[in-house]
Amino acid sequence: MFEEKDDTIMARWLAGELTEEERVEFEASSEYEEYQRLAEGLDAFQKPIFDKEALREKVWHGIQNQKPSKVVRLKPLYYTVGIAASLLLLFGLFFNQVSYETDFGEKLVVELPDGTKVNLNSKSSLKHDRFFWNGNKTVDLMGEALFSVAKGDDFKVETKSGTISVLGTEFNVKARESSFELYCYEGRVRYENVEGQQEAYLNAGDAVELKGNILLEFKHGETGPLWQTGRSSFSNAELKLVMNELEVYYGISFVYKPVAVQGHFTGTFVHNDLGLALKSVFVPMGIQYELSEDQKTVTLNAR
Amino acid sequence: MSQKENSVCDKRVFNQLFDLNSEPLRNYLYYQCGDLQQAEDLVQEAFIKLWNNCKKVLFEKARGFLFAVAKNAFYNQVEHQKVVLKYAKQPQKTSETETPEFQLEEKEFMDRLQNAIAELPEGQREVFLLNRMDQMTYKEIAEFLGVSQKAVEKRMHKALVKLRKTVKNI
Repeated sequence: MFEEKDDTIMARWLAGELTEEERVEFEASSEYEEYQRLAEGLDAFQKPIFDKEALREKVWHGIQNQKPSKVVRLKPLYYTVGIAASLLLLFGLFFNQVSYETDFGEKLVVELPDGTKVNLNSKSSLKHDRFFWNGNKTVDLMGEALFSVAKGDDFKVETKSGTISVLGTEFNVKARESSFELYCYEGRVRYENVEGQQEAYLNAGDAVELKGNILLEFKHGETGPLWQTGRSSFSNAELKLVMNELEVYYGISFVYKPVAVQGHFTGTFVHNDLGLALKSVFVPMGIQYELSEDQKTVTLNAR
Repeated sequence: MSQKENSVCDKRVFNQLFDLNSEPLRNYLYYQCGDLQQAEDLVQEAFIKLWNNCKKVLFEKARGFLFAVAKNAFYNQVEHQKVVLKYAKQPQKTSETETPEFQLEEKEFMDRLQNAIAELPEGQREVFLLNRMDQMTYKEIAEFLGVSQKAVEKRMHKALVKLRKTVKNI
């Protein structure tokens, strides 16, 4: 084919640079007509419109309105780093505490940074330092929790009613407003109450309870706290304490005359059925009770 | 002309450079990116840069400078689009002899040609369009692109062969 004669021949044809000899040959070739038509078609294409003066104006306008060349300063970086560091420091000062809280009837399992597992019972809170915690493993507890402390750790639980130090063990602490109970299920813990100058060492199966200012030590036969199974158990406990517990699990409040709620309760109540729980506490005690419609208030009447 | 008279920093000289180079540069960029607005923005930027560097750029090198700056900016930021050229109706020879079929066929041919140009590889398309649209000779294109004339002719040849085949095959 003519177009394959050499690698610029069509370019030369279009520019009118073919030799006479080539031209004759091309006009006799099979592609000639197609190329002729192509050239005609190409002539119809229009050059894109160009408004030179408008663009010239734009260029001069652009030249005159240039922003001074940007100088990138390092200072902003210092500021940024400084601000970030300050924020971090503030954050460290004000947010150094990690806290977990449960509301009425809620339960929570928390794993502390060292692997210690804490099962937090209802209406309880647990706090510990966010930073450098491994050097000072102390948690603050309000309420009740079961601790499974990682082995070999020097771990401390601080409560309103004293400090518990442990060496890899499992124990339950109940440190409510008006009661304190500590049950050891595994290993060995040390209880110390600086104010009351009380101290106790608990092995597995040992328990202590603070009644007023008196520390009662006794044995328990349990392998884990009952609240973990969804029940609360009492043995000759003051009715007031049992009612506090009911408040914790169900978020209810009691209306009563002080004389109406005397006595001691032995038994259990469940955590997931308010009607059943009230029944199992107050019926054996011979106390009439009435639950308000919003399920929040219980009125008690001695029989 | 002495060196001083040819200083690019002279507004008159600068305007002269603009007269000479703005349109081919704009068209060249347009043939590559297919967006007139973007092409014009690039031209504007290139000339502003030329002005800012007017003391460093010799008059003779200004064209190359503009070209290089625009091309770099183009490769950095412009998204490639298809070049779609507008075409005018073929001048009608004798309206009586032209049947509707013929007109339709003619329109179809032009559309195919338009697509075929858009489909050309970049290197071939820019040479092809600079020659066809801007009536630049192969020699001028070669200077403009900074390649040999032979290379331009080769690209042109390839473009033509390709156009013929594409238009025929559709």
